[in-house]
Amino acid sequence: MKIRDICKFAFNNMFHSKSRTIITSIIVFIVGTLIMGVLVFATNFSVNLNQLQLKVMQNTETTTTITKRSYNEFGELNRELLTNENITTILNKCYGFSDVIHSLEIDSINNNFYYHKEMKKISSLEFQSYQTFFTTVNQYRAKILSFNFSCPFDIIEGRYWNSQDVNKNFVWVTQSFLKKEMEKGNYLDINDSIYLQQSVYIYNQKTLDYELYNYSNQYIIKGIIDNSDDENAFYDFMIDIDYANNNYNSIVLNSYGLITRYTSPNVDHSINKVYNRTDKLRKTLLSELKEVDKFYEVESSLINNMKMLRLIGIGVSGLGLIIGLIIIMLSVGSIGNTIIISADKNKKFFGLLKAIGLKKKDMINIIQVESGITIGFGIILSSLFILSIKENFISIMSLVFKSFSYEMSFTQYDIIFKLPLYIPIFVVVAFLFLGLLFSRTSLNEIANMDAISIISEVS
Amino acid sequence: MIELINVNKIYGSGENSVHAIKDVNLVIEDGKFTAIIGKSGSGKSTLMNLIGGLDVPTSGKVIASGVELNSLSENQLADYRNKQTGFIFQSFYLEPTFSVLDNVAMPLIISGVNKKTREKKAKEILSKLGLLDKMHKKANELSGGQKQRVSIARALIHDPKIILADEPTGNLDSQNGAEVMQILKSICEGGTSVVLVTHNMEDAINADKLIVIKDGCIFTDEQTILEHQPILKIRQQYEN
Repeated sequence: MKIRDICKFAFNNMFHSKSRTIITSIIVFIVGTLIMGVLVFATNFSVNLNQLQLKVMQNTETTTTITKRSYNEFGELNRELLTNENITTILNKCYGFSDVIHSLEIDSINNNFYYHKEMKKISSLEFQSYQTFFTTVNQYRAKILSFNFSCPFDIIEGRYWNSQDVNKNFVWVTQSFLKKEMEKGNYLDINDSIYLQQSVYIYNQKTLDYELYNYSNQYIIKGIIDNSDDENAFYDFMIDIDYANNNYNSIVLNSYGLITRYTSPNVDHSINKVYNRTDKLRKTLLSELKEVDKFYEVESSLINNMKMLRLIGIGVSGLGLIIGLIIIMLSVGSIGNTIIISADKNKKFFGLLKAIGLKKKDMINIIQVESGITIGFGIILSSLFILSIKENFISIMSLVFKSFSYEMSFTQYDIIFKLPLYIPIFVVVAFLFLGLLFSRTSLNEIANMDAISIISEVS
Repeated sequence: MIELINVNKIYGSGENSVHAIKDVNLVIEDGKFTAIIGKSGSGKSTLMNLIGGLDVPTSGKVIASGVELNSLSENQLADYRNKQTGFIFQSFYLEPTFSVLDNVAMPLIISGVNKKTREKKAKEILSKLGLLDKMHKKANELSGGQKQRVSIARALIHDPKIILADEPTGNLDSQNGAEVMQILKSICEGGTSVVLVTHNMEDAINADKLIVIKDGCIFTDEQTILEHQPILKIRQQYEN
């Protein structure tokens, strides 16, 4: 039989038992609304959680910090330099996570070197600087490496660095720098001149060796960075590594730590993927950085921030799915019964059709289509009902997410509400599959009856 | 030709079993009008169902055009009913919400024939039976006689080899009954075998072959027929 004719027969059967069809659809509507309500809530909770996590990620430090620690003779914890081998190991491991890693910052005592995500070009980077915080600045001034640099933190007196500052002999200094200079008897202020020097090893491709360069220059203080209360202000300068990528094949950095910054999720990455990848990287690094007398601290702000949110999200989604499945299992009996009653009510019609050549397969198809239409109609009503009360969903979720957003220091969070198409489709398929499974014995009995028995029974 | 060889049909088992058809040997010849007459419960409908592939014998063989129906699968048997037989029921069994056209085309719908072809065929048959003007009406809007003619049209749409009519005049008044019998006769004259199952002797009077069935046994010799059905004897005497 053609599908169009199967549908026609199915509609005819429904028309024959209008009241039963309506009652079935109402049952499906009520149960479907319950199931879909739970699933829609769980899904939207998850979606909103993802959005909230995204905001968390965009608004907070989403990093993994790797540092090497050891206890000194007094039992105090000291941070140690990462060796070149350590750096190489870390970089090699990080290459495998370049899909989620935005950049790597090498945190040395005095310098922070900003690595672009295209870090595969770099095998190593070495900056030996020990004189001031401003090695990088001086390198730039010395025109050895024309790095752009910027300060990502608020400057109380002064301003952010910008590109117009290139080639100008002035610098911004931190308050801690001024304090240190003051202890040496140098009372510095804005517009004062300072003399800075540093040593830099540059890899020479011709000699295949590192060459030491010493530089010194005079600068004018143009601004002061307030880092008195903010340890992050320690990261005074960041270097755009694009230039280095294009100009140097081999650079080595001695540093005390590595900070991995993660890319915000985009179309290809859900927050969960970033989270999972972060966790995997953290575990990978921990397993790789093994030394007998040293230990590493690998800490992820992303994981710390999101652990609770993730747990809540998984809990709500899991609970929603379980409740949905329980309701489906409880209601499938009534759906199955209505399918049986429907087939039974239309026995006469099926008997006639069998007498004139209807095959069992086509009969089952008619029953399936009929059930599918009835269930589908109920679920469409459920979907419309849920859409009509979406404001209630939003209100309930607002209660939860407002407290989250408060905790996360967001003043405003707009709740997203979606009714994904796969939810009604899933419910229809689940109802139909389980309903037919439930009623299969009775349906088979009807389908296997010979035409005359059916007609005689009905007559 | 349809041949029944030592056919038995037993319903149920044990003490409650009913032996509906007993050792029936019968030949239904092509293009002939065969009437099976018998009282209610005599087994005539069962016999018709066996001939039409609606039922299978408990023992024995039903051979239609050289094919043993017992050996066919369920789907093959459905195809046999759909393409080689046409059923006419006492209660018409039309689908009341379908149009006359769709009711007539029902067997073609089941066999997956496209709409254009089946409607063309249905119109042709309805035209022959004088119902073309009713083709868009719902089946439940027709009179009893019209319903049975639609039922006949439905039975004919596949150009079956045999028409099986089970008490086709049972629900009709005498005028409509006569019309239906006339149609069946003309169908037979067109070359299609007709098997009529009835308890109305008037309907059977013009059959090419009369078969009397009593308690599951058939009788085809004239003497037995006349013994079992005295009305035929009176009619015969009157005609003579």
